[in-house]
Amino acid sequence: MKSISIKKNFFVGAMVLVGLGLGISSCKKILDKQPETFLTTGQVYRDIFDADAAIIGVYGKFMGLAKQHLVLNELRADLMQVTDNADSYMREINQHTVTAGNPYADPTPYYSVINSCNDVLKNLKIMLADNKIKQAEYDQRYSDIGALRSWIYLQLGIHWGDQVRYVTSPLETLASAKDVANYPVVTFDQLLDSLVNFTNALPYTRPYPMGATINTGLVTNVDGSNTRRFFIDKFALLGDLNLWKGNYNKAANYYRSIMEPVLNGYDVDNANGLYTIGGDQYYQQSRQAFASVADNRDLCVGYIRFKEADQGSLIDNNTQGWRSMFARGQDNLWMQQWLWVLPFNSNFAPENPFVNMFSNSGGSYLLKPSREAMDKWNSQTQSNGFPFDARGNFTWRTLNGQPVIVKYLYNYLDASSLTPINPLQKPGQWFLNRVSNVHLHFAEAANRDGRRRLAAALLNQGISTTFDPTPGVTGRDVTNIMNTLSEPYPYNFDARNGETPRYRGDWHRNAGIRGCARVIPAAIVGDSTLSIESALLNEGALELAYEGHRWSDLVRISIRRNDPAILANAVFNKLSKDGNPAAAATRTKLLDRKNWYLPFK
Amino acid sequence: MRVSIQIVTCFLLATAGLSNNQLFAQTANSAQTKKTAEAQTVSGLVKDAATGKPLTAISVSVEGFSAALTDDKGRFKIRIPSKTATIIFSGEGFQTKETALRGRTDITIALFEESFNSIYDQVKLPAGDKRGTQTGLAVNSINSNGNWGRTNETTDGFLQGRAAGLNGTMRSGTPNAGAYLNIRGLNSMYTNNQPLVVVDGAIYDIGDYGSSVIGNHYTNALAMIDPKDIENITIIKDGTSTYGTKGANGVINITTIHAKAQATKIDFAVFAGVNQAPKNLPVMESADYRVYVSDLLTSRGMTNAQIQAQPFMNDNTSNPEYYRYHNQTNWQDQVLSNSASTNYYLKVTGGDNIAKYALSLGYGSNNGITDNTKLTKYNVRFNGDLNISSRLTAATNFSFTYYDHLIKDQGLTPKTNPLYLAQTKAPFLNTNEVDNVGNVSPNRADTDIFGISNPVAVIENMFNSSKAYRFFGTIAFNYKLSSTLNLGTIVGITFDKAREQRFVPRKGVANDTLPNAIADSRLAGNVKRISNLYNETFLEYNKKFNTLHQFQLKTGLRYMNATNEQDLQIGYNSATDDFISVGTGINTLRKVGGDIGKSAWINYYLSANYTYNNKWFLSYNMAVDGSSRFGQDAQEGIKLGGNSFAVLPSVSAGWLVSSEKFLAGAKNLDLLKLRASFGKTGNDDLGNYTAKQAYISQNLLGIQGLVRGNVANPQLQWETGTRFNIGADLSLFNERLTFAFDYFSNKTNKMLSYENLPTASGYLYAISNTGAMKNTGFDFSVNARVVNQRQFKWDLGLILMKYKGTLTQLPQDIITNYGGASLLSTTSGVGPASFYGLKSNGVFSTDAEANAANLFKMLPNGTLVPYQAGDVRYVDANGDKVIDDRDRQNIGNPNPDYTGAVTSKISWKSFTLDFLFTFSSGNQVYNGVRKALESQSGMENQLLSVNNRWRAQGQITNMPKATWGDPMGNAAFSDRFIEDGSFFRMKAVTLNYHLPLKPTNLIKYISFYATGNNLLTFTKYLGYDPEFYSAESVFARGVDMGLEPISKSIVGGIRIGL
Repeated sequence: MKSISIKKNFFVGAMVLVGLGLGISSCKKILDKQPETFLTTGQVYRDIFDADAAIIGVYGKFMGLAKQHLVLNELRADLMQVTDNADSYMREINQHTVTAGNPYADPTPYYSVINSCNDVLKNLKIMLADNKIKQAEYDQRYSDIGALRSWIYLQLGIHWGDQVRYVTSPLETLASAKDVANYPVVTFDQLLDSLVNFTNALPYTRPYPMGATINTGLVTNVDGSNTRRFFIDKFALLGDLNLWKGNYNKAANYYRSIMEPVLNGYDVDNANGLYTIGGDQYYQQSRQAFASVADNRDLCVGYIRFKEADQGSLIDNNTQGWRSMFARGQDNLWMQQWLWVLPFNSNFAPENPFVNMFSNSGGSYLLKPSREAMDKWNSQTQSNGFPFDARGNFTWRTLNGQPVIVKYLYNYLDASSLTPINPLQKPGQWFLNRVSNVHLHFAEAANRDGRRRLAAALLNQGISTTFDPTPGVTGRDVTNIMNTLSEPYPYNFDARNGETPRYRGDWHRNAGIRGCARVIPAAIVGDSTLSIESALLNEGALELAYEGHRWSDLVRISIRRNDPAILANAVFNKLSKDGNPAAAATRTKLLDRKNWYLPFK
Repeated sequence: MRVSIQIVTCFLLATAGLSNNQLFAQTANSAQTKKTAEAQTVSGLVKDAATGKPLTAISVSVEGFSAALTDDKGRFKIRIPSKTATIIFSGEGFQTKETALRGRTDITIALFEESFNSIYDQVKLPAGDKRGTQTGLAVNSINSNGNWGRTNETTDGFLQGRAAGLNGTMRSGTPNAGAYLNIRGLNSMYTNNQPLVVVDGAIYDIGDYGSSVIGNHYTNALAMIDPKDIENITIIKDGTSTYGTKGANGVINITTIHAKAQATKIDFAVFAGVNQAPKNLPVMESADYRVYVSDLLTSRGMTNAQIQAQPFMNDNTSNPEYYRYHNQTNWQDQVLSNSASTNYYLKVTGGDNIAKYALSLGYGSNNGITDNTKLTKYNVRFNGDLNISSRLTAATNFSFTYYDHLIKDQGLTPKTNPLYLAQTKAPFLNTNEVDNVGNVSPNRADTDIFGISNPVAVIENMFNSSKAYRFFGTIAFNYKLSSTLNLGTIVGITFDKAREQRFVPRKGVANDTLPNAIADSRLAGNVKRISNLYNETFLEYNKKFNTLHQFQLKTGLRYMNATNEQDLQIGYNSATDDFISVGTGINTLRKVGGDIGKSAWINYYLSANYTYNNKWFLSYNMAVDGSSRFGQDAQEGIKLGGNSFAVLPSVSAGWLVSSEKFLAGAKNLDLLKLRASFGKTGNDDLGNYTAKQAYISQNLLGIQGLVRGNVANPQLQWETGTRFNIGADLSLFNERLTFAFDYFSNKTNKMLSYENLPTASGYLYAISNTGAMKNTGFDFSVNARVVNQRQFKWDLGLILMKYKGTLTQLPQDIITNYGGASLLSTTSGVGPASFYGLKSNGVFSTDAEANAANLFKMLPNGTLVPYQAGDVRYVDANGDKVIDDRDRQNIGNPNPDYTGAVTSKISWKSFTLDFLFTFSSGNQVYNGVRKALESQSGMENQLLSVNNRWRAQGQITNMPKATWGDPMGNAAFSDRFIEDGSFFRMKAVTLNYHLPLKPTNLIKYISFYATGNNLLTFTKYLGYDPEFYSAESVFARGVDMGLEPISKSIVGGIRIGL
């Protein structure tokens, strides 16, 4: 009797517990709490908007590399110098004596972006497989992020040489992040091979399309900027990779794609009608056009018309001429020159690092132009006979008695007084690539591919002038001159400009880098291949100083010629002219290619 | 689904088996009992331990067998099941006591008064209430008796010095800040080291989630329980494994008031007190300060003429600036002053045989020693006990507490901390504006020319308030399925909300610089919320066989769903200082933030206890624990339904040696118990979503994108603790002398650590279970009744604790910075969190001496500068002649060698005098306040010790020279600022006069209280006070950042019983 009641009671008790257990556990998700301040697997990469958010995220993070990128690519080379305010880490970079703990020699920030790229690449593939995005959408986005990753790896190779870990796994779990198999060490050469193979195979190489039927959420206006030029230029990257690799023809091919913009997706919005004079808009795009002498609505060095001999009439403002390309808004002219620019906006992170680096009012003034760089500009002669290169005037200035790199400060400083408009508002831009660099690189490839004259034309005075046996004569039939049409693509340029019959070749306005800069042609002496190459290298310094190309140009050409002295001497010249006692020792050190590379932590 | 079926099936099988056995045993036993019962009796005498007089009507019983009362001569006779039985004595006004017969047939027992601190007192364990002797676990029971004398104390503060093994460190002197509680030292580096608090059967969340917008303000959940509402606090130091991954740091089990009798009882009390401002730190007055400033400016490169031209150096009274800079202000007096506290409390208990209730109401205000700070507190509690039917009972515990706290910034907030400002403000300035001829305006002075805020303006016009409430309620049902079987459930709800408001005026306070603007006025609003749901449902079986074997089995499941949320707004630059709400700031500068954390926890537990003849105690406990915080692929534990579950068993055994026959002759031995326990426990404080892969928001200008934020660790799991404890309890001379000793050895495996990742991962670290630590030590307590007379009793007690934590495994050494200190933790014996800084060896007295040492300091730009006369002579540990971070050494340990307490209670007639002394020995403290006041690098006022600074070649001193900006790092974190933090403190002394009146009167008694808190402190520490705890982190220990110091206070009160 009692036993029955105990059993019954027990049964009742047990059933209550079972019921409760079921009640709690029946909802499978009881132990599944989803975070609300961040997203987790399953909440991302669900549709095209997520895919776009992922790409925005990668570029947002990428902007954090601006400072380190510039310090490594310019301060290690010959054009930039530390000021008295610079810390010991910058000094170490400057004289190639990096010690442990130097934050500029830490590749972690680069890998942080690479990891984000890897995550996006992996998940885009899954999204495509799951039909969450269309093939075309996938191609554009995958190629964009793939190219960005290759660009970062190229940077890693340039600075860390043979110690780069070529990580392609997204390292999603701690176990994979600790697995050494995910960190293959590659030499710079192996890295270049991998990058060329990977990047050549990307399915889409044009910029994101505008206004097409597929989603174009990535090309939009945001906070005063259009995002068209935010994304990496894949043609330029492919050209660079092949140029590094020595695939000159292929490199030239890719560069040429940029130089034929309309064919290749560089839709320059013509709606504003600003530069439609004579329908020349089309001809100017990406072609390094000559100066618009009447109104200086151009990006060349110019003077007020008919006052070319008056130094005071140099066009020096934020809306006209060469200087304006660093200051102007994203109008058509700007679009013709710039390929890749990321703007800094005071209302959003990250803060513009360049004001602090360069400005001596409102900034810390850590870096300045080297004596060597100043001498380079001062040793040029303008076509009007002035013994300087006006690009130097626009690149650096003496402000408050100190030499200041102003290229990055035109949005921060008042256009005429060159004092800060508002020291707490620090707008600016990270200049990553532009057409002049493409022309110089195309010329470098063409020169090595046996097209020395074409290379010299693009460098010096333009195709039309160079391929004209009697320049300046008018009224001729130009059918068989002013062009290289007998050459195969990518070397076939039509720069014909004549009236009977009328010719306006696509390239008739091309003036050459130096032509546009109004400096006299660089002399070609001795072995023309080497001479042209050296001139191109030097021109890069004059034209593109502090835009993050100098160190890689020096490294590439030194490697190609197997002549470490090119790089070593450049650095030596800087250090010795600035009175650094370690100049000679640094030169000796840099004669060994191994010492070009930073220690991989 | 599958989870529960498996668990429940398992449980069913186990219990069903037991139930059958029991069935058999039941019948057999009753026959046997009958047979022995008639044969044996025992008789004896019960007397009062103090007077020796016989006691009448004392209940005498053998549990589950027989019972009797003593007659008017104190004699009793009772049937016993065997000659080794245990007899229990209890009576109103007296302690409960047990004694084992050990073969005796006539016994004499002396009982102490009810308030006597006895080893037989009840302890409240997760498995049920027990007498303290009847368990093999290390537990302490504190019957708070209302803690009436120390009315301003919070519950956590009250627990300081109350139990061996429980260490309390006062957070600061701010009312409500309470104490950081810790049972037996550190078990982890990054997870919570505080014990689990259980109130009335439900988990009580003591976490302070999210950040405060008020500098160094701590929201103390334990301040939400009025100690006068507490009946019992049981400290469980081991054997907490049924709480699974929440039990790693022991359990504090709090039981609040319930009506004991049906008669209505009313207590009403009023208290009033005074808090005394601390002694000022000896800072310079105007004359010394001027000389100091002049030295400093010289080091800046200013010429004598330039210095004399400074407005504050000019002694020409006709100079328009003269009067502004020729005052004598004691700034500390301007911000610190004595303050008052008041407290009202009403408690009513009573009821009938169906429902009993306990109701309490409290109101109190306590003004801090910092001017314009004030705490106002309201609390109400309603606890009920209901007999719904003969089988069904219910208990409710509802409490609601609200407080409104006006506070000031503390710690490292140099622009807004009034205390720091008062220490550093130039003494020659005036609190108010002064005109050119010396007239003092009623307006407060603005920020001075050195950029230092006006502390008085901060006191008067800066506004910080924290308004918080907590509702904590539990309802428990208990259904008696049979005489041996109980089904129970407890539901607990926590709603907690703290609202902070902050306003920093522009007038009188130095500006902040934002990335794109200057912030003159600063405004903030902050809301922190906790809402938790807790349930525990259990089945309990309790049966005694043959009066010898007692089985107790409890199994059940606990579930907790916790949400904490924070919403934060920060604004800047409201139009005028009259606009103080956050919405009035400039739109473009407003920032919003917040966080939401949710977690769920399921705990299946089993607790099996077996007692043999009241002298052997065996128990087996285990938990199977799941949590939303665990990764899917935890390395340990089991998988159920795709989730990882921890399996945490433990065993314990106790042996009452004194109940054995062979000790029958030991006349003076009341009790000797040996205890041992071993088991596993866990810690789930991993962060709510740490195991998950995080995609965080990343902007590109104003567009928001997403990027991966971490490397996910699906193997993330609970920290696994191994707990080993052996202990002994000894009671001699009829409990006149009682000892308890416990040695423990704790290990934490799978300790949460930050593990460095390869550079090429792009991440600096991941959080993983890659650490381990060991923690050993002992707790010792002795209690003695030194004098035991009817009119005069004196109890003395000592608690002594020692712990030593050692890291045994780390992915890499940990170097952390906290509050200006560097801390090192290694597996090679340094740490956890030892001070890691430069060692100094005096000050170079001459340049020749400095040159001979040939030491250099590298400036930020890479230049090496030689040390000179007047600089600190640091020890060049690595011998490279350059003093830098690589020369840092272990320079002190913030963990004490010993901590403990001394208690004394003297009763004479109706007077009681209680003392509580607390002490800490061998711990080092980083005096961050002194560092600021001896750094000699800026215009901040300095301590008088700075007068002894190096000034001339050949001067021998320990105080370096004054140098602008301190380029040589003379004030770097070094052993110069590490001090001995040992102290011995008279924490509280309470005098109570209890006036009993006739029970028939309306007023049954009147009690008078006078309490002094912190009246005496012995320490060598140079700061205000060596006791503080600025944050919950391990790395915050012993870092004095300048919190409001502990102050002396005196409280008097009266309590009336109706």
